[in-house]
Amino acid sequence: MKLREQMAEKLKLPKDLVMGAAVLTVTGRSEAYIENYRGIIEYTEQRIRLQTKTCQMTLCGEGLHIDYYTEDEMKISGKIGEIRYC
Amino acid sequence: MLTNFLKFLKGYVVIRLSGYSPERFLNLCSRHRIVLWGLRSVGTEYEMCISISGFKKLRPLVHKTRTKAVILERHGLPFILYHYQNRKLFAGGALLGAVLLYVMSLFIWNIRVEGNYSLSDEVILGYLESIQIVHGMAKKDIHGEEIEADLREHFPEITWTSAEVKGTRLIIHIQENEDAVPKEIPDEEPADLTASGAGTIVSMIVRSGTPAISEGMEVQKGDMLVESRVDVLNDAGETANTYYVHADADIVIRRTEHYQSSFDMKYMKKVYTGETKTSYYLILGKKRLDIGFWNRDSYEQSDSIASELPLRITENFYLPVILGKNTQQEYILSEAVYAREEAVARAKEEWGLFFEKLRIKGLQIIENNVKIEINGSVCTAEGDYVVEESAVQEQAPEITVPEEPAESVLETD
Repeated sequence: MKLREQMAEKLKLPKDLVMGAAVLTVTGRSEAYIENYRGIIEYTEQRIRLQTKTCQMTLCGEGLHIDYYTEDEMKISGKIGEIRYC
Repeated sequence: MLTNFLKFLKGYVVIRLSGYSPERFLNLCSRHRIVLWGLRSVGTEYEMCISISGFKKLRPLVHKTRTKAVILERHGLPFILYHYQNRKLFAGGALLGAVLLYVMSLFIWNIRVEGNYSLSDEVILGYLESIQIVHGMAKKDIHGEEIEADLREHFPEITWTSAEVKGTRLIIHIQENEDAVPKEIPDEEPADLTASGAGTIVSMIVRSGTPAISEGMEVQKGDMLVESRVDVLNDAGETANTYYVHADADIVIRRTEHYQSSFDMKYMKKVYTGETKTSYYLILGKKRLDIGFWNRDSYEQSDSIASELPLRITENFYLPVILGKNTQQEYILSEAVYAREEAVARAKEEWGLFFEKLRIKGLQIIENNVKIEINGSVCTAEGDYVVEESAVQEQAPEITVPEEPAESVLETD
């Protein structure tokens, strides 16, 4: 893993491609775009738990809503309170 | 916006998912590239939108995850089409309407003449009818250039014309020759000027030609004013050479004329009874249909006022249907006598109109001694008036060929 990270650093390649890292784009606290994930583990209005290649990602909040959900990308809207990796 | 439209076009359903492992179901969907949107969790269940093609692929996934999908709503064009599938007459009617509109648009429903001043619309439309350009004819039979050439040939006063088909209207643009008196003799040919009316010459400015009269002289209609023949005299005062020019001059003639007009002080006056009848009618092409048979009988004496409303779809798309309204106002004729002021006003109005006509013709009124007299039962306006006008008309000269050609005279010298 270290080697890959170093390679990406040296060759200036995008890390999401080389390392399969998830990309999270958050606009304010009401919208989030997530790319490069494996799947949903849990989905309720208060919590969305996603599996990525390296870790799990949890978004907590109120009235969370998935606007669309495809293989590569998803959009979440609602009142985001917390983003946690574990 | 565009994605919404595409979604509508392809159709989608709202489903409710319940069961053992909905998250697994969502992941399987994304693995099978089935697009989901509008995901909401309702208690322990989920609602989402899915395209029709996606929904058709759901069966194995639902089975695998042991969930249950129920359709809540159907949206989009495929469902609307399915709904109207059995309404064949409705579709047929829509198609028939479109075909009818297209067929109707192949004909000319309105002919409009623009730019005509002295030629009336009726005269031009009448001529067009005689060359088979009529309302309701097929658009493909109209050949603009032929119409233009025919119009120019038939009406010499038209200097330019253009036939334009716009929608279902044929618009004929016309430019008329604005010179009221067309010159009969071209500028380069010799011409004499003669008097077009009798009177006294007040002023004359001759630009070319030999004057035959002088200021202050009396002339009659047809008298020679300016001759086209110009003689060149030699030192001895004899005519050495003669040539002819196109005479050109401004000559003002003054004359006195008499005006007389009278009318009876008694007249028939229309007294409206206040009774009116309104009837409606419909004009379809050339046929007129009266609507309402209950008041066919008209009054003995009445004014009728008709107002018509031609139906049209767009500014240029006239239908051959006209709605009309006819209002008849009954009146009774009763004898009346003009009061003095009324008679004077009427006489003044008449003579005002008369002088206005003269002014339009180009006459200038110098003096006006018309007086109004009321004598018993007759009102008379009478008197002399003096007018000035430019009164010349061109005439082809009589050219007399000199016995000896001028050149030969020069040679003998």
